[in-house]
Amino acid sequence: MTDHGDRLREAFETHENLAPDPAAVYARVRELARTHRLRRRTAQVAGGAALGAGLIAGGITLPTLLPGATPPATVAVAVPPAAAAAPSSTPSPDQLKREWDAYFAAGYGYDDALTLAKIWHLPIKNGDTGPVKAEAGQRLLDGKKLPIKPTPPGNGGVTPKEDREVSAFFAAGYNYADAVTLAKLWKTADPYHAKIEGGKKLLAGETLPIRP
Amino acid sequence: MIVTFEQFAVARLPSLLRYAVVLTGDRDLAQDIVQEVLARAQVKWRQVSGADAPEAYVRRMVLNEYLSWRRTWAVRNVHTVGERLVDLDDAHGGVPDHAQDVVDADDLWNRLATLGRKQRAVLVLRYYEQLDDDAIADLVGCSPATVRSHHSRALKTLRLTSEHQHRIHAEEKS
Repeated sequence: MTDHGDRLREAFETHENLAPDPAAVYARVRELARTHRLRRRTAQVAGGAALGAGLIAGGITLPTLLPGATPPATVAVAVPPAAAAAPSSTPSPDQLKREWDAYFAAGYGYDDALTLAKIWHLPIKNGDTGPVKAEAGQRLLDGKKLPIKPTPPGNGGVTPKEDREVSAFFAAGYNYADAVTLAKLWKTADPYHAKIEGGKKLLAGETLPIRP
Repeated sequence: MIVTFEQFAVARLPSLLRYAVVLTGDRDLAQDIVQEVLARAQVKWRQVSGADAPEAYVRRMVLNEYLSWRRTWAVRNVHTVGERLVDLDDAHGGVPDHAQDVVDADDLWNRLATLGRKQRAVLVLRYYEQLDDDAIADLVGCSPATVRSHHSRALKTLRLTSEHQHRIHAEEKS
């Protein structure tokens, strides 16, 4: 080691232990991870819409991080000093469709997503229940049971078809304010029906008259 | 060995925090960066753990986060008395009474704060992580020649080159 190398190494090593408390940092990591997961779900929703809201193929499986979830899968780890492949945070949009399909196939719908969001303490932003459905769908794909049974159709709940259309509406990046605008434009009974109509068009590959 | 994210974090978090502190020179920024990186790593843990070297993968994420960090960077870089790690060290009685080399280390630590992020990263990767130019180039995203350029300029800024040369020169004269 050169002289300046020794001095730099000493400067680094004499200050490295001023690092923050790992326990406090870890607690914060757990909180942040949950936020990231929700953000990621939203990104997947948008990504799924960009692909036409109906395209599908395999995908990755995410670890479940929500309350009550089982720990993530165990994996083999080796820790050599060499650099690994470049990290990438690109989510798989296809996974979303599989999760939604699993959710709807099990008979769950919009009202169930609202109930699940309360149970899991997940926020519903702008009425978008897509991330909750995706989480539930993932659990179903993992062979787990959801904490509630599906709401029987015909009890005032939303049908799976309508639910899928509304989800497609939000997946394309539209929100409640857009639904209000579209309701005026299309003269539908209310914004909800505008969401259904909009989702129907999006699923058919059509574009809407306004941008999200 | 088989580990979950939790096991990985418990085992490697202290080391990651030390690395981040050395990399950033700022305890708060180091904490922010490690928190952000580990949160993302947890969300995509299967992908991270599927890498040949998960720890190297995460350390690389820390480096990338540091090099691309925008939020509050300018604010954090305006230190006042009591905010610098060296000041905190002083407050804990960690500095001068003793060896001159400790004082020198603190002085050098302060001067490191004047470097650009890539220059500092190159020094940390070479002298703290003990990587060669090729490995550093891969991590930083530039050529080995650029690494050497960053290294040379960093030493010049830190006045280490001239001191080193002066010292050799003086020794040769004596």
